[in-house]
Amino acid sequence: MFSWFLNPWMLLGGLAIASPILIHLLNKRRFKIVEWAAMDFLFEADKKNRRRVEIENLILLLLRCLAMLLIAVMLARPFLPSEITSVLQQAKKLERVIVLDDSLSQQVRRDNITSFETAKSSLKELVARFAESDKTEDWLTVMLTSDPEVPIVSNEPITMNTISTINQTIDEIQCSDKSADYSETINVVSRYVSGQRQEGGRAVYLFSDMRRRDWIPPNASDPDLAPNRLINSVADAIEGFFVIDTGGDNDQNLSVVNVRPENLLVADKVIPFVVTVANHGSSAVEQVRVLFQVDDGQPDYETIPSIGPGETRTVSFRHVFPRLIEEDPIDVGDSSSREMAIGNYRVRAEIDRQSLGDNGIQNDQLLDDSAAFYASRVADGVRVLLVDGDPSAISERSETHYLKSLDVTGTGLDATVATVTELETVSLSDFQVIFLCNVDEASADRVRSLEQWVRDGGAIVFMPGDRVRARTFNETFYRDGQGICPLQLDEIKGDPTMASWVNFEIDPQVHPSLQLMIDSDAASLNNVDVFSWWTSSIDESLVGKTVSIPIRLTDEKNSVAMVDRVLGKGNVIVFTFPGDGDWSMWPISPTFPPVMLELVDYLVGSASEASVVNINGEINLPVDISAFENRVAMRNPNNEKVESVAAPANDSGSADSVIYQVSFEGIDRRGFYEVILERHSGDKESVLFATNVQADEGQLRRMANTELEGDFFNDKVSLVTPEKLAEQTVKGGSSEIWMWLLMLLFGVLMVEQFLAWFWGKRR
Amino acid sequence: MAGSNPTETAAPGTRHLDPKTLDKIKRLDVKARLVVEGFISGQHRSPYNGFAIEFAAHREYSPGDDLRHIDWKVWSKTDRLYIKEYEEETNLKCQLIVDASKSMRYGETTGWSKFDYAATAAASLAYMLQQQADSVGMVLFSNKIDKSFKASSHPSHLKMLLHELEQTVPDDTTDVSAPFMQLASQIRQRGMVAIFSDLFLDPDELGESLNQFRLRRNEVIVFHVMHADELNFPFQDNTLFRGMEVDAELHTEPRALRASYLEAVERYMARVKKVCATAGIDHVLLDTSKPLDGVLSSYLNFRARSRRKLI
Repeated sequence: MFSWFLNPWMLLGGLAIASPILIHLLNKRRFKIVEWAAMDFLFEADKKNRRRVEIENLILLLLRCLAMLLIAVMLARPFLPSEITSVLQQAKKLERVIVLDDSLSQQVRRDNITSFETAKSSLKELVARFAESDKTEDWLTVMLTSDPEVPIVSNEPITMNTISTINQTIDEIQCSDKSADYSETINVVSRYVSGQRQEGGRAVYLFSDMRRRDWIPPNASDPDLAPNRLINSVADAIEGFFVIDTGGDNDQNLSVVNVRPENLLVADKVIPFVVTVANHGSSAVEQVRVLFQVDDGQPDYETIPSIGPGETRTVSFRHVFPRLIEEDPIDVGDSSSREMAIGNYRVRAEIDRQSLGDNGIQNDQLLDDSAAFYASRVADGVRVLLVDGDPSAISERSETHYLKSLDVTGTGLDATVATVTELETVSLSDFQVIFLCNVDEASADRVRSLEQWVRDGGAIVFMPGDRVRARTFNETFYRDGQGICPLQLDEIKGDPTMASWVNFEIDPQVHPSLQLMIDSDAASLNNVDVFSWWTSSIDESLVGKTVSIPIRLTDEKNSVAMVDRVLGKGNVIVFTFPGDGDWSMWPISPTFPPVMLELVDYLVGSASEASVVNINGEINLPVDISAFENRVAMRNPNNEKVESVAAPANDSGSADSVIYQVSFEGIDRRGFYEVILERHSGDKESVLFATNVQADEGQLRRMANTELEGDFFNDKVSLVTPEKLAEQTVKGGSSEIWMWLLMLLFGVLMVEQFLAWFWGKRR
Repeated sequence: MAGSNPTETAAPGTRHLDPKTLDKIKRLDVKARLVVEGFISGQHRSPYNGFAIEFAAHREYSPGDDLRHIDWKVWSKTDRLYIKEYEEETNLKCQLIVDASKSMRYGETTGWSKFDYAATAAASLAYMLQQQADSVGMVLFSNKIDKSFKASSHPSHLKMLLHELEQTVPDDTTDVSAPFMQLASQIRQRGMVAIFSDLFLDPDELGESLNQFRLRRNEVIVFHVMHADELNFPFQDNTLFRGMEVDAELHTEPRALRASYLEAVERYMARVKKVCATAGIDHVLLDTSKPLDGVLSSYLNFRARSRRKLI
């Protein structure tokens, strides 16, 4: 009842109805007394007039009370349903607010037509019916769930003249790749209808494919904020809320959840990709063949024998990316730095629908979530600097021989050997990992720059041997715990005659670099023989925090064999023996190459997720404006080109920083986005991004109608099919009637004044 | 004469004593003299004869008769001298009957009460009669005869009457039947009876009572004293009316009753006039808002003209 009033609290003013009565009673208490002689005449007159006067006074009192009541009601600004106001007005303005679910799940096909097309057809029929109606003056607002804040049709009149334009707009609506957020959409609708409450009424039509995922969001915590509950409160403020069911009953659907590389993406190395496929349906699907393709290359296929209902299966593909630049050893004496070569590759994994046979459509209704994308940014190799503190003309006798031998096709390493002297002049930014093999000295400036380089993400591996002087080493790299090395070398232990040896003792908390080896042969690392080693001291308080000890030796003191220290964004690894075969048999052990390669992968970092952007998110990319123009272009999956200008990053920290940031918003299509940077020289470089649909968008399980209607406790809310929509009528558009009340008030006051004058005159 | 208001014949533009001015004069004898002399100054003929002379018959002239009384009109027609004879031409007895009931006090809180007005009128009449050596008596009544004074033409008697009028405070209810019956029996000699009252009683009862005087061949004049409020009912605000003679009250909105009240008063006045006319009694309305000398003057002129017509 109070929803009929804009200012219901003003109805309290209706208490003013008592004021004429009070005035009447107070007047009756105020009188003068007259001693009167001719009482008989008075009684005679009173007897004749009393009833008439009482009736006249009562009528005047009622009119005055009515006037006060009308004022209070008028100030409360009441609305009346149109079935009442239509008596007063020929046509009633009614705004039809259409909310169209344009989420990806609307692309499900039924009878060779998508739910979205069904919804659009139904919408056009509805609009046509509005245009033909002469009972209401209809206005149209159309919102999409993908971006409800920006209506595509905003409060446009629906007439025979405008209907063609409206239909054209509806035809042009494309289904988005986004998921629908009904709660947010209904909140937007609620704000819209409450903000537009000027005149006329409103009816909301939500075209939904009735997916359970949309109506009961998986992350929803408060059931009262669920869309089906929110609708009830919105309906209070409007004339009707119609939920139009455009979805089908079949929930069978397969989707490729994602495709990811398992290793660091470097050229000339076998990179395993894992494709995750989910069966969202309620029955198992057999023989699901998955296609894997890099760019326009030859596709690979793998078959998943069976995926049960609700299950997720993975399938692996292996791929080797080629080098962009032919082998060209770095001349470490050249001070000019070499740019890292990055190749962009479009990786696509898709369900091969032909493998599903004749039931392809039945088992996988939604085509658009059956493919996933990954933007592979492949470096030519991990650039590793091997500093040899004991160089030898004979390669096999050099400190770096075994490490250098890892630089072969398929390992992804790009190793460069340098001397201790060359270390002083080499450009650190050209390398990702530096091995200091049997090195115990460096200039103070170099040590400082090395530390900063590590803190910025670089990695150093110490492998001290017999050429290392403990004191020099400690003063240079340990510096009483203030240096980059976490270990203080003490003395060399072991048996130089190699008559006795110790073995590795692997820490139960397996280091990532050792995991692969442990997984393949758990005992193999324990069989490595070590004849000599550096004993060392370590600040035990750091162990377990920034320092870990993945390998110890089986000597009496259980000496440290390997230490991993996290320093800033980088790591420092220390082995207590050299990388050649002088002190141990490990370099010639088959466990050495995989551990070292895994170590390099660990130190460089795993495959970056930075190339994957969530749908509805944004692309952010740092731009070095000393090398690139600040105007950056981007091609979206539809091959449309947009531009943006890089701006100083908010967290750059320095006003004269050359690292800007460019942002592209509105990432709303699945597929690949290519950001094109232009060097000052005019050369162009690309950075590739991939966007996939939300993982659960493929869950097509329907919301049961009975379950939904059970929550529609507001009788203004109806769940209808498109076929039944034509039969629905809005009970009425409410409109303010204060003007009518004002006129009525004026009339009442006029009548009151006239009667008071007329009866007073007659008396 | 019956049914017409004698006061309506007052000459327009005549300057009379304002009742408010008269009210400021406390002594009744002074008031009476002012009233009488006020209207005498406007007369061409002396009003005194009006009450004293009453034609009885003609008789043939005999030497010694006053030549002023020869009827020359008869001589001109018959060539004989006839003398007009008048009854009691020198010994008119007039009884002033003044209502001293409580209702006559109305108006005393705001100015001149009805009793003040009636007393002044009675005093004026007494003064005028005394000036022509007629006898004047007075009776004060309410529901009984409160005070009674026999008629006398002695100057000191007038003073006493006026003194009594001044001292009287109206009280008690009005009832004319018993007092008038008693008075009628007491007045043995034909004379004039002047009644000053608001006559708030049943007109039929009033008629019967007045007839007591007429049956004894008294000339009766009713001076009907009404306050202006009673005639116009000017009240506006809510008012509680309390009866002066009856134990009753009415809380009402006067504006709502005014029309009906005035209708009731008009009906009542009409009945009273009809009763008086039927009995051959002069009815003179004394409106307390009207100048008393003007009213008296108008009535006396009217009366004088009526006498001449009869002769």
